[in-house]
Amino acid sequence: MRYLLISCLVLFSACASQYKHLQQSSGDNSCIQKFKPDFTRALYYTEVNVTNNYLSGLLLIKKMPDSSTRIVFSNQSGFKFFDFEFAANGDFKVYYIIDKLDKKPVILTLRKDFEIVMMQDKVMQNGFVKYDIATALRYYGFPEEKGYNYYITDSACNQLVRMERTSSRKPVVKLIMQNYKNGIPDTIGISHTGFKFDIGLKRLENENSN
Amino acid sequence: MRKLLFLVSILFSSTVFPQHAGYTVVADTATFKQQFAAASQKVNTIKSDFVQEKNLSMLSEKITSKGKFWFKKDNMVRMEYNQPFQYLMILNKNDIYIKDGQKENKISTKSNKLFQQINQIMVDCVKGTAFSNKDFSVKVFQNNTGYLIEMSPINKTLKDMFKNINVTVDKKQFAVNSIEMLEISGDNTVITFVNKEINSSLPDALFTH
Repeated sequence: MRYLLISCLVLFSACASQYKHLQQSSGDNSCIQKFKPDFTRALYYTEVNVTNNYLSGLLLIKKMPDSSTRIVFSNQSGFKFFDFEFAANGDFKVYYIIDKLDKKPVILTLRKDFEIVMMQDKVMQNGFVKYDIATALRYYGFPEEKGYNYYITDSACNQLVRMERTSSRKPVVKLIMQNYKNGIPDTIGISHTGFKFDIGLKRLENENSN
Repeated sequence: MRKLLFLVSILFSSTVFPQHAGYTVVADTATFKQQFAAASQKVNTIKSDFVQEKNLSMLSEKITSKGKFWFKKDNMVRMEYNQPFQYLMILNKNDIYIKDGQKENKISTKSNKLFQQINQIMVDCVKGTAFSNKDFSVKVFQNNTGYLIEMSPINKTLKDMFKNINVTVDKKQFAVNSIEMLEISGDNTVITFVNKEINSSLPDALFTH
């Protein structure tokens, strides 16, 4: 009987939402707009660990004249891994992807990750604000089809601590954007919790191009 | 009549300037092949700087990186990118060693067919054996100062990646000036070799790790 009770408790705690303790908070979620990266043109040295594969190379993010954003990832020698377009209206197009990555879940995961990073309008609708008393962090939440996107800041909304894409109960992806220079983060990190899929981007500032 | 003249002029110009501006077709590829192979026989080592430009046509973007290149017979290549990032690649016979920041990686080209094919392109270009690479059909063009070797992939994997690989060599030493990898999308990557030193002494240690 005791074991049954313990099992139930474990089961219950495992099912409990990690966001349940957050308290409703007043606040204006427009304050996080200042963290929206200004990707006019940014080149990052990029490392990707996916399951047992490691890829590295250069990732270019560029805003196009039609207001869409292109993200192109190629290795150091110029072999392209993927070329995505994120339209201003939320549409998405794959211009190119290598066979090895050309799988629906991979493309969908990359799409969602970069939509959060770019703070696209489509992932920032119907926002609400919550507060974590224990950590003094403010959660700017936006409902998604199967969970939420959270932009988590200090209590004064001066610093973007991290971002999370969640299921209804727990984080699915944790992301960071740090060390902004001229509106562009110097470091971006994307880490998936359910399976091994990590992306690390470090901006190349001394590149000799154009 | 004017339309006919127009059509003829287009036809004529496309015959004279078939694919590469300023170059004409070398009809006698057998002689070129012999000359290229003979000249390459005399090249034991190459030391060079390189500039790599990745052109993204639809984005009107150019990404430039630079580094150093070493080649030693028979098939040892060291490419060291040092701007704007640090990346080292050593091809030594059947093995590829990569140092990417703090990460080191060894790949056997025997177990990785794509790496083997790319490795072979690199070595064929500098060794002058591009004609014997069965993964490509090859055409040769020339201008006053050099040759352009157009390599068109035959197998599907490479066809998906490249439209053509164009290698330019100078007429004096048949040394490689540039390698252009042209993608189906119109994007390309051009590696240009500058400050070349032929047959300077290169220790084997450069190609080990």
